[in-house]
Amino acid sequence: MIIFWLILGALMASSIWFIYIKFQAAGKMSLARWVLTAISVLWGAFTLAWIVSSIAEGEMQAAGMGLLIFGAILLVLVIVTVRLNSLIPSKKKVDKVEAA
Amino acid sequence: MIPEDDKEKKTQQKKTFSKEFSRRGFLKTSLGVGVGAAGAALFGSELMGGNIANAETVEHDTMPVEISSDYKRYSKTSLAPIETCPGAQQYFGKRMGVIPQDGGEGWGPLEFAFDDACWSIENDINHYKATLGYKSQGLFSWEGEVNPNVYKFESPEAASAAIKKAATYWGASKVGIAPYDERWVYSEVFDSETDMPVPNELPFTPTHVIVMVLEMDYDGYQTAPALPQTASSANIYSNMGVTSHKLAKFIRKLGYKCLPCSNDTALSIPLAIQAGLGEISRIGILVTPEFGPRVRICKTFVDMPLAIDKPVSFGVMEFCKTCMKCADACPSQALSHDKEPSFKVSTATNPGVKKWAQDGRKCMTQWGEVGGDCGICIKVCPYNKKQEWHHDFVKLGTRTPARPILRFFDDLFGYGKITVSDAVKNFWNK
Repeated sequence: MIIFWLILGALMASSIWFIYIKFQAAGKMSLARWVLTAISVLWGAFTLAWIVSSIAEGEMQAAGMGLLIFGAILLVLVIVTVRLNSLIPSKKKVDKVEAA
Repeated sequence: MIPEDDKEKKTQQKKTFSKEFSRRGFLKTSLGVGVGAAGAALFGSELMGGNIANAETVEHDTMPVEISSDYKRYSKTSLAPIETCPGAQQYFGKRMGVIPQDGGEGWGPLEFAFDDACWSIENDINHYKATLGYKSQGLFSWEGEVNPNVYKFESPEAASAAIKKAATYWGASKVGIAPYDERWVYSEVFDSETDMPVPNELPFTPTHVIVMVLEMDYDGYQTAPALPQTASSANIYSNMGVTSHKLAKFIRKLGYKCLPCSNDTALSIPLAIQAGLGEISRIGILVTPEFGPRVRICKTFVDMPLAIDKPVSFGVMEFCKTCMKCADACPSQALSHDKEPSFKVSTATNPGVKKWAQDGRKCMTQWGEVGGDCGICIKVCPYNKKQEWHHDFVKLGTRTPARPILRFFDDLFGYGKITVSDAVKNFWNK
């Protein structure tokens, strides 16, 4: 299981780093978006950890229900993070409005 | 045709991305990923150490159970209605092979041989008498030479630490130390020779009680009420004898007197609660943070200076008020469905303690029906889980207002089923 935690940690760090390179550099991130992103990454890690731990102890129903329930919540979190464009403006748009 | 502005934007993004992902970027990424991986691995190993299980316990100065001011010591003779009922006769008849067993999965020659072997230490050395509650039997002997040179520990805390280390080394899953409290000592016991009730007199007045819980096998209990469950219980009865015997030898060699006990001499559950090992539950047995109700208890009375542990609570009694999974699952309906604990009594209840009373005769009837120790209540209990981080995490929920819905999710996620498919096959194959 230690190997799994290593992989999970690597995945989490990679996700944050990818979002930083792809979106922060392009000025699309704000504090609110980072908070939502962090919550989504943590929740995704929790979901994955739950599923793997349940499979490891032979509880397939628990793994499946975890995927269904926690996975659905993860999906909602990701959609809210990505689609909250109009409600939470990106840093660039805020600067543009202020400049105007 | 893509507008010029958008083309330029995309090109800009690509340049930014490739600028960031240069050799330097790659090194930064690797370092970040490595730190993340190591951090998560450390976090995960801390989670698996059972730290969450103990994080939610609250210590108390007194027993976290209401005891009436007119509480009287319990007599072993009060168990007679259970020990002599038709269910008990059927149970022992089936166990000794006088009454044929119905058979089925988990009741084959392999399981019978396994069960016999698990009982072997208790049966062959203690002659099953320690389990039946007779004092000073076999490995639990009260005879033993005490070293006249008394070892002086640097402090009671050091003494307790040494005792706990030794006991866990020899097989105890967890150890707690309580002050001697005469309330939990039986007023009367049965003489092992004459089988007549006699006053329960101890050869010396102890100062402390070392209480040990030993975990029973999870996969064995998943087969309940089949024979591997009884074998799991039997295995620990046998192991208790070995652990207690070694601990008694250790204590006497250090120059102190001790009385190692199994089911005899005193009530194990209040002693375990007083020693900070768990809480009382609807089932009527101890529920521990780490193993739930899937434990057996033994104790050793001593006259050495020790630091005591405080009673704890971690949400069990509150959770039991709304859960009722054990009461619903019990085939003979021996467990109470009352929401609140009370001073109500049933067959062989120890009166004067606010708890849920169980009907011992109905429970024994089920044992007679099955020809084994049943164990369904323990199996279905939401606290009966393997020691994994996600179960410990959910147990934290029993300390929150969310506790009434936890039983629903326990069922939804497939835990604590009365019948677990392939349980016997899995027991042998794991």
